[in-house]
Amino acid sequence: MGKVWAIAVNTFREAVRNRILYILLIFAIVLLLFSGAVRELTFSAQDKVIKSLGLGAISIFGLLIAVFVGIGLVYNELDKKTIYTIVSKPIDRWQFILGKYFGLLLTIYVNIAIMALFFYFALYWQTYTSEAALDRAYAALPAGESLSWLSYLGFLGMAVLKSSAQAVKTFFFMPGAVTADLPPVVLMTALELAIITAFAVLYSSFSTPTLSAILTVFTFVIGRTNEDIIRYTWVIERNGLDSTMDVVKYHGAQCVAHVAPNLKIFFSNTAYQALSDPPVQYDRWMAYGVVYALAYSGMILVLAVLVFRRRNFK
Amino acid sequence: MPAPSRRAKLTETGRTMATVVQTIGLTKIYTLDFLDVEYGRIKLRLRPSRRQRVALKDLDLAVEEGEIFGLLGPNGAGKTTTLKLLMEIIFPTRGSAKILGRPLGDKWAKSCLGFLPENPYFYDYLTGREFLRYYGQLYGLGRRERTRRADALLERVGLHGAEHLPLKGYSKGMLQRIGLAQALINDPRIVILDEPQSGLDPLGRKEIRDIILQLREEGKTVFFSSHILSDAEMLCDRVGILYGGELRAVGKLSELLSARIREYEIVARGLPEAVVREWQGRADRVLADKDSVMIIVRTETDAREILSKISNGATLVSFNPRRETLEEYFIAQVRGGANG
Amino acid sequence: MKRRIAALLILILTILLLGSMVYWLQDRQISRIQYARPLRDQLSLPEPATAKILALGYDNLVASVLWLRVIQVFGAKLHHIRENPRELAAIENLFNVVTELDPRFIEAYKFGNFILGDEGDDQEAALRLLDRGIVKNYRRTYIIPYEAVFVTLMSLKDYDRARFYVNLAMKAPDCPEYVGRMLYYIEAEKGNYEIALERWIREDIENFVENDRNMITVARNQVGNIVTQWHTSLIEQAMDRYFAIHQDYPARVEQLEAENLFGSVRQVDGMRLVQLLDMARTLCAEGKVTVEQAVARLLETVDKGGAILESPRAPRNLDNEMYLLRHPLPPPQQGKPEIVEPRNGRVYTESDLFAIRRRIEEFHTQHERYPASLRELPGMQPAAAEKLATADAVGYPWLYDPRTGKIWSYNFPEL
Repeated sequence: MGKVWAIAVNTFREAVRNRILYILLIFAIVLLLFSGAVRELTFSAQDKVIKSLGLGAISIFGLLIAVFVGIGLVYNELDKKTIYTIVSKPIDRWQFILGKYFGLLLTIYVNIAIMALFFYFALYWQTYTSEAALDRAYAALPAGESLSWLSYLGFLGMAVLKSSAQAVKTFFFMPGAVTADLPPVVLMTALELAIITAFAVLYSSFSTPTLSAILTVFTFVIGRTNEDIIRYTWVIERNGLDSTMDVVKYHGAQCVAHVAPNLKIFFSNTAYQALSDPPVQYDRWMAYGVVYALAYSGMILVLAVLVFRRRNFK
Repeated sequence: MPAPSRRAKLTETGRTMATVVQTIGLTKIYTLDFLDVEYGRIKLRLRPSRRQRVALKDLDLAVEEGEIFGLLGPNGAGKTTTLKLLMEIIFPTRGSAKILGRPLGDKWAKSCLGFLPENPYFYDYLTGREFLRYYGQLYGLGRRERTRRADALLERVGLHGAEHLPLKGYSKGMLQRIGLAQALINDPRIVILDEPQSGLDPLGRKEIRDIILQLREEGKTVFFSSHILSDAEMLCDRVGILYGGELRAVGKLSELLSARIREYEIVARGLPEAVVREWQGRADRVLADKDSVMIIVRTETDAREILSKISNGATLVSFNPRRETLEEYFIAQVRGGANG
Repeated sequence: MKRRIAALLILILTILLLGSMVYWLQDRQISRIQYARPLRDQLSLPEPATAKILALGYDNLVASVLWLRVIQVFGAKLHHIRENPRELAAIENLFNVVTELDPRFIEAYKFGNFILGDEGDDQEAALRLLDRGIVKNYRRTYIIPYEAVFVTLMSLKDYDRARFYVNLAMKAPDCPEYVGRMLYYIEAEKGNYEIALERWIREDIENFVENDRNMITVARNQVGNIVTQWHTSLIEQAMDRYFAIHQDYPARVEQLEAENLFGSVRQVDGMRLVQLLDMARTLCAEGKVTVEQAVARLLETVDKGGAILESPRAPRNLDNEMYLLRHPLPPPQQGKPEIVEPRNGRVYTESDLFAIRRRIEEFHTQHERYPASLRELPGMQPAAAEKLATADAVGYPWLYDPRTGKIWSYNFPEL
């Protein structure tokens, strides 16, 4: 297992030294820090809008990293023939695939963690530097003392410290009022990405980066619309399976829907809508999601290993 | 499972004669696509026989411990295929191979191997040191051990100042050297090199030669493929000649090349004109220079005759009885294979 | 060397040329869209079910982005959406999509009700939207049924439906007690304006306390609206009584007063209401008084010194402070005969418009066409027995469209 970890760490190192990661990360951080600008655009429901923008950004950027870094993961090794010296070492091919997967997953999770921390920080920053907070700070000053630059800086510094502390606490699943329902959603995003990453590694092991990208995105779309495909088959069934086309459509769609992952599991409606309103209980939903993610990504990885095992490298 | 005994057989030289690498009927046949577009022409391969490309056919080879074995052959003969099959980079269509008595893929056997592929390409983004330590990790070495070995090897292959540079900035020679270093990181018993001298300048080639000889001194087995025959002639204990996927000849150089002297090459200065003219008709070749002349004759009697003529006034510059070179043998084998 | 410089110059020139072309084209495009109505690009959203599929699971995100666009587009008052039923259908679809993607987005239902109902004048569409909200948030919140109560009560005057919605609202766990009081008002079938006034006063104070800036102006405007509507309805009722007696409408409010047709009127002292509102806001923000207490105090009658008065006199101060804030009146022109104080101008203008419109209708029935200009009307001739006003109370001439026969005043466009 140490060898899997060695490959994972090396994959992480490779991803970190890949410039595209920085571009994505910096973009995401800027977006999150300036999510407060959204306040100016809407006259109400600002909190909900900011939160959904931030969470959506984290999900999308995680997906982008999975695709951009994942598609070349195995392919580059084969194409540039760096795989030769790896395979000649006393290491199994499945250890290689697993190492690559965990390295990419580690990269994605580190990025999500950074983005989430910045997001929580931005949310708390909004609260701690809002007009109300400034007024309270004014009120707390001893009577007769006016605001100087120094005390304003002190105020900002306190806001930075408090925001950071709250952000870290939220990250470890101890959110405050401002970020009440966010950690479970971030966790679910991370689990969903585990599945997508497994697919990216699978595709990368047998196709070129471009094709892998298309296939991964396609898998993602099918995964997200899985439930709609099932509903479509119900509609066909209700209208009667008259012609052969109908039968083909029905069974074809059923096959696709059962084989492809159902990513909506990670988006239980109750949880997502919690952004507008009082929170719901997450425990059973999260447990379900964790088990599903583990099972499904494990299955895909086994498939990747099978494909990779007796492959002749050029 | 305990390691098989090293002292399998003793020969007169006292070295062990265990077979470390052995192939038995190793065959690799590639299946080509139905359709191929080549240089603007579409090739259709409908007959099954035309869809197969035989890269290696029934290779039976045995490499003994402690020797330097050279696998020689022109480009496309199947040398790299053989090495890839041994490393399990590709899988054989038929036949099998054994390394240190274990079947291919055995982890213990692999941990006694070091491999350097042709035109190596390594991870751009790692520095030399990181790279070696990573590979040490893949062999299962502990942290202190692999650091120590990495530093030692960097020193040995002459990359001492460059270990903190990323591999992206390495020249071809440096890449070859670090490749050699990664092949030696686990102190292997067998070192397998694919065209180790390709693309290197003469200084680099000499360094590689020296290192290979050093490895033999250390008791390691070196199995390499090459098409640079002069180096092979200098280094190898035994050679195998591969052509068209088939093994044409294998054995000690001294056994393969006939000991018979093929021709005598005499370079003399100051020979009288008459002698030169006489021998221009009789000798195989005569090359005249400003002051010296080279005469190439086939038989010993002719050579003695010329030598006797040099006695008065002329000086003998060089006398070179040439035996069959590896190159001549090689070309003969290849041509013979092409014709036969 | 020369060739290299020449090549470089040519390349730079080409870039400048192409760049200026691109800039000019873009400029044209910008000026073209400057005068386009902003709703156009919002209106091509697919059906809610399709949109939900297309959102690929990013429902909440897409709903938020659409919501931002909605705010941007509807930030300005858009009267013209009333006139175009297709646009109205598209707007309804827009809100349907947003609420389908995020069914618990209460603000969307409230705002949709405002746009469709108040701006678009299609109460049924507003109610459809609110019904969706009630179904998707059944028993979760009282806010959506409460909005529906107002729609049915104020605009549709359908008391049974209003009662139904009140009962729905009361099923929600967070329903405050004043919602129950609505039932009493519905039963009494009186005091519509008072309920509305109470609601907007409450909103005004609450918004101030919660520091919801944009809603503050909206609420304050609505308070002004309700007050003027209330007073207008009082005058209308008195005018109906006058008509019943005299078969004609009066020219001046004084005539109504003279005949004591107002009965016992309840009217709002606008100035005082504004003062009290401001005071209530501050007190509530400081926490000295609860919102309930403040609203109750504001609605008390004259005997206890409130802002809503029992009075037999016609409402005079319709143009209260809030109204003035909305429509700053231009100075009246010189030399015009009918210059009156701006404060009463609205009532006068309104009654003048009544009379003129009646005359235009008569003309249309008689001559099968609308008069080409106001001077064709009998009352506009200088020597007419019963003169119609030639300009509105402030002194601006009427704005008349001979094609449709519509007449309105520049200063009071809502009349």
